[in-house]
Amino acid sequence: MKILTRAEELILLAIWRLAEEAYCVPILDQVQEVSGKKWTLGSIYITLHRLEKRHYVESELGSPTAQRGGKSKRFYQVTPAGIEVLRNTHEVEKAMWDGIEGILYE
Amino acid sequence: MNKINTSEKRNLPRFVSWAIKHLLPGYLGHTAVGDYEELYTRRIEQGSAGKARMWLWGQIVTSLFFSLFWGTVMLKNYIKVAFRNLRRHKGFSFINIAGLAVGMACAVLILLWVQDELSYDRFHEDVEHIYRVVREVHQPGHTFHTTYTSAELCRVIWDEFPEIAAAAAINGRPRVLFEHGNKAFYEEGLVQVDPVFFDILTFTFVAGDPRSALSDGNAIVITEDIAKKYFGDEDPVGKTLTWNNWLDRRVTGVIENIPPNSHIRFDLVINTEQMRNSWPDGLGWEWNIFRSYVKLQKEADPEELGRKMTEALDNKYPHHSKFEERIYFQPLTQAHLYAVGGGGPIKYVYVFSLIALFVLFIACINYMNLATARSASRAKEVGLRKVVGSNRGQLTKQFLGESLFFVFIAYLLSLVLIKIFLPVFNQIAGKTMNINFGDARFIFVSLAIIFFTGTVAGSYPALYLSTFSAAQVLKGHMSSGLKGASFRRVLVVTQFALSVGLIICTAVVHQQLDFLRNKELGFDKENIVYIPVKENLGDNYWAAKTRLLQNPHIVSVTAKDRLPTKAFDLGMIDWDENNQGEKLEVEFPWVDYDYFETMNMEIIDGRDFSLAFSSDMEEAAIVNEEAVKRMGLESPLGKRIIFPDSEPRHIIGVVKNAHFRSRQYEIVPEVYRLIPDYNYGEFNLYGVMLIKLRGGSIEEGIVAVEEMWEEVNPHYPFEYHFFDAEVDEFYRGELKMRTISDYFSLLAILISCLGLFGLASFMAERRTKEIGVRKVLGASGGHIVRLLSGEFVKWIVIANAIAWPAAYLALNAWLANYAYRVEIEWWVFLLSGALALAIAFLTVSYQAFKSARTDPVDALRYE
Repeated sequence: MKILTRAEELILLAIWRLAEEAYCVPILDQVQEVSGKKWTLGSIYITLHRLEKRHYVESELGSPTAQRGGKSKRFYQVTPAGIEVLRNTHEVEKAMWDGIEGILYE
Repeated sequence: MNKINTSEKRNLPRFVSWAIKHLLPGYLGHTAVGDYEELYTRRIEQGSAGKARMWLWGQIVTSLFFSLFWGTVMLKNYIKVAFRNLRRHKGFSFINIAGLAVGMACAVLILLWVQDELSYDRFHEDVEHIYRVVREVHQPGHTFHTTYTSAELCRVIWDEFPEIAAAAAINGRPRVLFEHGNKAFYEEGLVQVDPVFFDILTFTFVAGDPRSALSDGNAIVITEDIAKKYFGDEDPVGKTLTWNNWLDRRVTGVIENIPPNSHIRFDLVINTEQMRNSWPDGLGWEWNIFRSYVKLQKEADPEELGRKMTEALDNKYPHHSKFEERIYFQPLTQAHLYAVGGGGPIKYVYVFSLIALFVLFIACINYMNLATARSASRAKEVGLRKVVGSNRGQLTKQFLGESLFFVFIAYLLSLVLIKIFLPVFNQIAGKTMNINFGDARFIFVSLAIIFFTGTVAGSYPALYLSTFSAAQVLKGHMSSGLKGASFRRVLVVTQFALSVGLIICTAVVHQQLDFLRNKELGFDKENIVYIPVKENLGDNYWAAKTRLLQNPHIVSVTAKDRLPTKAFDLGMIDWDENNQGEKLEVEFPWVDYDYFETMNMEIIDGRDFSLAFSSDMEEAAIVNEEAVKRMGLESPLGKRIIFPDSEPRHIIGVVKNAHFRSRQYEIVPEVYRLIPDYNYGEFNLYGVMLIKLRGGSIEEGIVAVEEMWEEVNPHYPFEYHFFDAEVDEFYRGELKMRTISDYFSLLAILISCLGLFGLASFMAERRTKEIGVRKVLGASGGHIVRLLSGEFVKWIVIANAIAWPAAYLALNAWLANYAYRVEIEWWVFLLSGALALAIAFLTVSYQAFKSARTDPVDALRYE
């Protein structure tokens, strides 16, 4: 059973949440906002590249816009395999946490 | 610069987009540039452009680092191997690290210097709108650029053009004696300015108000140093400084000491008002003795404004100049680095940057040479790594990483060197630079240097070592590190070509500067002292002169309005038989009898001023050769010269051209007149007394002068200066540059030799067996030495062949800056080549002799 690393999980979830708007800049904003940490754009690319290689996400080029000086955006979308691996990850976590959530709020 | 339009801010620096495209998997590259641009733009909109740029570079540098190590799970192993190598080959590691450390220390020191030079005058507020007015004057057959303008020009342009927010003229004053209580000092750094001066150039006030400080005609603004000198810890504001024993000036403001990186330097500032009362003519069009600084409105275009001004002056004020003139603006930030009309210290910025790069490059070559030469010992490692599954990319990363590691250690060492040598360097360069090792910018630059050096030094070894085929190496088919030999030869030749080139350039620079300082000055600067003509001395000049001449230790005594080395007043003259239709701008030195004799200047035509002709005082003038040439006179003697400020005079003599100022500049036409024995307005034209002392008894002569001074001016402290020091002052800048380049050239050669030494000892080690066999078979020691050093000698000869023409071209370009220059002589080249050869031979032969002397038995038992 495959599970994800934390960075992969966060980014995959960010893509899912952003839906139509999922390209690198908002993804970076989202993970930074949620995790409260600074991420470099480079680390996002590396993770995205790995996710794509494993077919957890698919990407397609958007049409170039003048606002970005003619450079198009690459939009990402979570694949069924991605959802599968997310579910696995979540279940593993749930199983590990089962019955001991209490320690968090003592 | 602060205004950035939308199209500009979107574009990333080309290097950054290149790096992004290459660091990321190909299909991501194009969109990634867009993403980075979007974030970059957002950051610019949020805050400053500078911060956005820092962020961007931070991203790239960290990414580069990570991409180099990313995925190298072997990192720990690589570091371990690098450490083992460092420890096993202590000698080579030392040579590598020492060379790199010295190279990088040089580079950092030079970068500091360059940065300091570039920082001149940038501390003023709105510096990008501040300009200096420059006149381009077209005289017949002679065009020049000058920052000297008249006060009237400054006033008129401010009145006429709304684009000019403020304009102020500044003018240096001769030395003045200031007194407060019992403290009295001569002050050199006195300037007079228009009250608006401090609105334009924002020197920091620690007391007083910059806007109103100079509104009163009797006000004076002083620096903190001056305040301390006269007032100690008291509050200076409101106190008085007495001016030349007669006028009280009230201190209305104190400014911080002028920062070392300001091209304008002064200690005390007064209002131009006094000049308006005492010498109103001096503020007119005729007297180009001021420098004008203007602040333009934000939207004004300086070039356009310059054109408009030139036109308007010609139409509205046709009398503003006797010649065709073009007015333009020089940005304040260029005032230090660019001399008007071309040249200036900017050339040193380029030359030194180049030297820094050379030194660093030479150190990198050492690393490459030694790393590839030792490839045989690394070959097995490479082979084994390949067998267990390492690919070429990983090996490249490993060796690049290793060189970065070495460079990093070297850099730490170079920081120690910098710390030690910065004070020395400061002293040589005449600067007060310091380094803050914790400063973010310094760390950033350091990382950039480490990265650059590491990549350059590691590039070739990394590519070369990673090509080894596993099977070949492990079967033992590796030809003992000789594979890269031809490339190594190219490297050594390059290294020595650079060194020889530096030696040649250093030698010719020395010759040129010596030539400028000593040869054919047209006057004799030795054994002359000068004292200011102050107070009573002016009125008692003749009595003092007669008295001094009676002393056997004094050869001759004369006077002049200002020191011959100082800039003179310029003015226009007309003359008989002037068929050029235009007047000529000349300098008007006022001198006493015996001036030319005291300075040992040769009268080549006619005669000197003489007491025997009583008319000389009112009617005679002596011109220099240059003036005769410019006036186009065939027989100058007896011709009349018409002056703007006195009656016409006849030319009675022609004096040989003398180079009182830096020889970088051409001779200026001069018309000498005798100092009148009456006072000229309020000014006393006796400025300095020049006294020629007898060679062997300088001390006694000075005592005699002091006694005379005490008697005439008991209230003024006595002081004297040697004239030759004053003349040398002109070349101080150049002498400084010469010393700096001397040291760095020396270091470059040293690093080259270090590398050569390493290479030679490596070669000797590789050939231990061969040498043993040769000796057994009867080779003599001499033969072995020849064998080992012969090859190096060949390389150096080739290096010379490359360096000579390159150095020749570079020197020709440099010498073209000088109006008077030495010939480049062939023997300099020969000598430099021979020197390099000798140094190289000494370096190599140490190893050669060592191998030649070893017992063959030891050699053959080796392994």
